[in-house]
Amino acid sequence: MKQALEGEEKKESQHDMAIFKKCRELCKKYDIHYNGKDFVPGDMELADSVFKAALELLVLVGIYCTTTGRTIKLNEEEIEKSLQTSKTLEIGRMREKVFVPIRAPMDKRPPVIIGGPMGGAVSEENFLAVHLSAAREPTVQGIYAGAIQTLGGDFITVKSPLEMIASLKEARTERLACKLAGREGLALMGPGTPTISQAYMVVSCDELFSPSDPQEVYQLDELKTDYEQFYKIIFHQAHGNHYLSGQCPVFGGPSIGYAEGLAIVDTAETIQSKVLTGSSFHASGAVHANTNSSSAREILWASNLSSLAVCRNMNYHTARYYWNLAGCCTDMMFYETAAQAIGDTVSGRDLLIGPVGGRGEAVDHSSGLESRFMGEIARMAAELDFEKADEAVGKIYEKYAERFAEPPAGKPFNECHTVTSEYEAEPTGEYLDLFHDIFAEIKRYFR
Amino acid sequence: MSLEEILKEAEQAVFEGDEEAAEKVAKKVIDEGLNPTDVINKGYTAGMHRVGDLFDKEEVPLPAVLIAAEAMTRAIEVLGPHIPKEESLTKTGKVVLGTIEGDIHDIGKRIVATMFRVSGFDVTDLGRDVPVKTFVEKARELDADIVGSSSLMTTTMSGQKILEEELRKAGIRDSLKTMVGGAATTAVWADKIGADCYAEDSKDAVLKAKELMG
Repeated sequence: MKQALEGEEKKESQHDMAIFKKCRELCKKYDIHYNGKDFVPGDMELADSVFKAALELLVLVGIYCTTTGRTIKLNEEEIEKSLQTSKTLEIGRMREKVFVPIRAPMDKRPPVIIGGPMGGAVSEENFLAVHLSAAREPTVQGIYAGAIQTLGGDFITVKSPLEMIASLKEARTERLACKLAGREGLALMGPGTPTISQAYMVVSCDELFSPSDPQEVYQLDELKTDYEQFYKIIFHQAHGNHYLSGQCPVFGGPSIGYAEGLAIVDTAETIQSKVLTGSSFHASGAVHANTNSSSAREILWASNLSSLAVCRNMNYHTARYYWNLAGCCTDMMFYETAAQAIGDTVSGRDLLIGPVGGRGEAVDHSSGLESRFMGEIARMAAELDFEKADEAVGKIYEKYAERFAEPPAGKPFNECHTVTSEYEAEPTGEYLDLFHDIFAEIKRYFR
Repeated sequence: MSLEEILKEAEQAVFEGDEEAAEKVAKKVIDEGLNPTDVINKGYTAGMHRVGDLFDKEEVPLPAVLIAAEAMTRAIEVLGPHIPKEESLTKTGKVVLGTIEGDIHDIGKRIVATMFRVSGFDVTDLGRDVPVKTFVEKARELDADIVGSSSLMTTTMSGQKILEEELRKAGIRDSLKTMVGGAATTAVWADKIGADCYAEDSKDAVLKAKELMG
């Protein structure tokens, strides 16, 4: 915090350029190279090199505080002493309490599955049903909140007290969804609606987001932070709350031009989460600048390599956001999920979050069925080694590689579910058939 | 050294993002009494266009364009004081850009800003989470031709509608054009709020901006 006030002053664009240039140098120094073909790298030396490069990047470039325009510098010693410290992570309460293990690469224990719209847009009208559909899935061990679009039918004026009211409505509806599903105490993550810290923090209470429900502290992308994050960090630490820090570095943005750079930055941001933000776990959601999706080839490779690097060199829980490009109830959405879930599972991720369709911007593109698919693919993938995983992902990727320019829009929740009451929302027959067909297809790739 | 050789060196310096080389060429231009405006418009700018074309084809990443822009800026810093008052650098138009209030996403908008600059627009990038009031004040202060706003979150896009209203209240809406972009927005949204156009990506934004300028 002190350094955010007194550290070296610079422009944000200088920080971005420093990351790009330093990553280029570090790739040469540590011989980090992407061959353009692999999806699930199993090269442990490469992973260790990425970790060393990430450490060096963090020490040399630092974390940029956008509020003050100053750089927070971390020294190697303070980073090193934090890397191996261990904290237990249990999320949820009562019967729904879940112990989250720190997984290893090729760990036979599948990752924890967190369903829900994951910050994606959800209509006020369907808000309960969408979250209920996730809560009703036995595979789902927690729900990541969606962003409610309106309040009483009106747009929510940003940075106004209305955000706090919207955040409360969101959290209460999510809790109700858990109760209706018979899953009192199911872990909530979020909230998904707010832009201001007051609206994030207002839901922090036993009734809504208890200390066992990881609340979101969204670190700004590419090794940045701001005062809003510090407000939340200080608040959560004072109250003993679990909180997660998420970041979505952008491949193709001003700092990251190459897949190798993305792997390094993603790893460095994970270290930032533990050492600076002090969060219970890090959620990574690297996206491609052209599509805003997390399922592109370079993203898969870099995210899997980063996961490997962290697993091997740090004692820390990591998660991944699934920003799928296609909409719900499409083959491509399932393929995107499968490609990511296989790589994440084999590379040692501890929690998988989502998925959300239409990049999270299309309204109501989230369903418990998509999370069920993610969980079942992850469970199967826990039996794979790197080679088999890479082969399977390669086959799946071919099914959607040419479709980024025109992904299928799919159907919003109310068009692919039959909602008969507040206790009952079932996927349509068409949706279930598609689920079964694609699942059977993916299973064949595992042989 | 001939003018042709200087133009080639200027173009290459920017294309390679070599700030020192760009400065060296600029000093040569001054020493040899050449027309700085000519060298900027036909030499350095040609380098920007080359790298911009490669970026459009996804053959180089965005930082390569930004590095090229830095080299160009260095050259212009050296040559600027030597440009005769009656001449000016060719500018396609004045654009004020920003991510709408409440929204912290700005990478797409920064890509658009860069490509506008490559295409010769005079761009003022207000950054992210920009209050509507700031858009209006800046547009008035700079006598902007185009005001562009980006929104990646559906919860913040209502700010773009408010921006249209505030520009009208300020009495400057008819003197400029508005453009909306960002993953949350669509052409339908642009029509609904009365914006002049919607841009899907940086390429589309430049194309539409040029059309708006007439």
